[in-house]
Amino acid sequence: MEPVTLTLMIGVGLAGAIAFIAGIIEDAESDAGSASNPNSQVQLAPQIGHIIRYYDKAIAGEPPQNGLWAAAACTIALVVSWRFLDLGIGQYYAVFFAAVVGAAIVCLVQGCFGVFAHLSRIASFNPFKQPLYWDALLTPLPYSMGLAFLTALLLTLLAFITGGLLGNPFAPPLLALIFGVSLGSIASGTGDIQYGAERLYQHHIFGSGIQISKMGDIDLKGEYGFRNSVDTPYFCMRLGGTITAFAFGLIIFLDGWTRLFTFAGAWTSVILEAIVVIVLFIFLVWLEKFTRNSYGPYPGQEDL
Amino acid sequence: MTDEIPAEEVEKKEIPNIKLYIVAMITGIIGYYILLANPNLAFISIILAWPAIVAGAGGVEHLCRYGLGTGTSSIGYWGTAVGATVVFATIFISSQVFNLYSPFIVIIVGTIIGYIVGLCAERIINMKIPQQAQQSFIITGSAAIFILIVLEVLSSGGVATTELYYTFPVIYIGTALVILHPYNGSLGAGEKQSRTLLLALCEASLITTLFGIIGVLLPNAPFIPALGVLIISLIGLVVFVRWWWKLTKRDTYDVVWSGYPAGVEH
Repeated sequence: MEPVTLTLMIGVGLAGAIAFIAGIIEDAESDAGSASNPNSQVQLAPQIGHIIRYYDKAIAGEPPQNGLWAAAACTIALVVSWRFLDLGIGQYYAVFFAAVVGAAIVCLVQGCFGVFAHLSRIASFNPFKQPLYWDALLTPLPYSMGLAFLTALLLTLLAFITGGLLGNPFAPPLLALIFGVSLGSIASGTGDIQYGAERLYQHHIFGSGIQISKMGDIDLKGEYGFRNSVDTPYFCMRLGGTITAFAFGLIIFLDGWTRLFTFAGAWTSVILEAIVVIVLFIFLVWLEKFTRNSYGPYPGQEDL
Repeated sequence: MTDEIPAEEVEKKEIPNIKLYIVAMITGIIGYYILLANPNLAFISIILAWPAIVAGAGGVEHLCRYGLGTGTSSIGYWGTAVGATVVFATIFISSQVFNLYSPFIVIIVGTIIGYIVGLCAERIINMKIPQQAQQSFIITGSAAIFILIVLEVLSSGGVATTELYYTFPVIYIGTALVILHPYNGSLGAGEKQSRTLLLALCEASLITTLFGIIGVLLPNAPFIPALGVLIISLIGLVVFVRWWWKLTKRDTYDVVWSGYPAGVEH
């Protein structure tokens, strides 16, 4: 096997694996801070009269905040790695340790943003008599910061691998921003559906929606005691995290494979990506038909 | 909820965003020229750049109070994208990266684009948000002047190096987040303008701390200006957080170390 192909294959494998782990951790991070879908329930609960003990991180939607963590960590890592290279440290060591430095700084920034958002939101819940519980903030905070550290570190490494081993022409910070925003969107759209609602509202008919008076019920009782922000990732790691990881890892992995072939010049990856999209489309249509045939139509959509 | 302040009284106390915007533009332009005269005075310029974030956050607050919901992040994203693109584009157009006219160009172009898009949303899409065009240009113009000053600090007095281009993504997304987050973070029935705008100051100093760290490490960038930005941002962060926490504590219903809601089984 040619060395170039071998490097590319190692790059594809590494990128896919890192993307997969980053997916699991990013979804857990957003759930620990009630950043995305659980957020609406956390926000609604005090209005319905349920006092919560959740860490309400709420950093402006998952995609932008995740984009900031990744882009900031990667930019710091890049400038630090240049300094390391000046000191005579080897290229790979420089990149890895610089990525750790970048992620560490970013995790502190994430903690600051999280504390700001939590305290401000609790203060804005004043008309609903929601008190500020310090322990409800301080328990999940280091957990959430740790997960943010890992997400930023992995996305930084992913950006460096894509830029270095896979030869992507864009600069690593830009790649990190794009990866961060896409991972945030995937975790928000794919992963956060499985945050426990399907278990707590299982006595409602599937697809019937949740009444306003039932909003926020999900935030009250945990597996043991009062439900808090550490319980949500406990549940979400099993389904939401792995589904996010699967979606993001597959995108990076399949995209990487297209770089291994060169049969049609610059158009190779366009043709291969089109084939991948068509195959996925056919499979998903078949899956949807199979599900509807097996379990019947959604309530209220019998005529569709 | 009888002890709530009546809505009219709240309205009366609030500062109109257009005033914040005018102040931010004046301080921004002064900050720019200070930096142009002497790059080592970057720490003064960065203080003068923070009001731009306050004005932008005020614009987001005004627009999103009318129930935009998840649109909070979209509007901040969009407004900063306009401001950032205008600033980044001026770098590529002019042979001399930053000149005497730069702040006026970015403010005027940013404001016009923001106004046109806001007007389209108001007239064509009929979103029924009062002063939508005005608040839109407040966001875009504020983002433009803030990014201009940050970029000038990082560019070692106006020299566009290849290394500088690597910082564009983080400058864009960082500014977007600090403009849209103050309102998003303070969302709720008891949200107040004073607290939201103070949070904008806290976050502005936090993000300039991050830019300061990047500037200190950036090759070819002047070390002293970036260090000045880093130190003054950290001091600003401490001062603003203490101020903001006073207001937050006053507004919070109750502050306890631990406990459970009364009358709920656990």
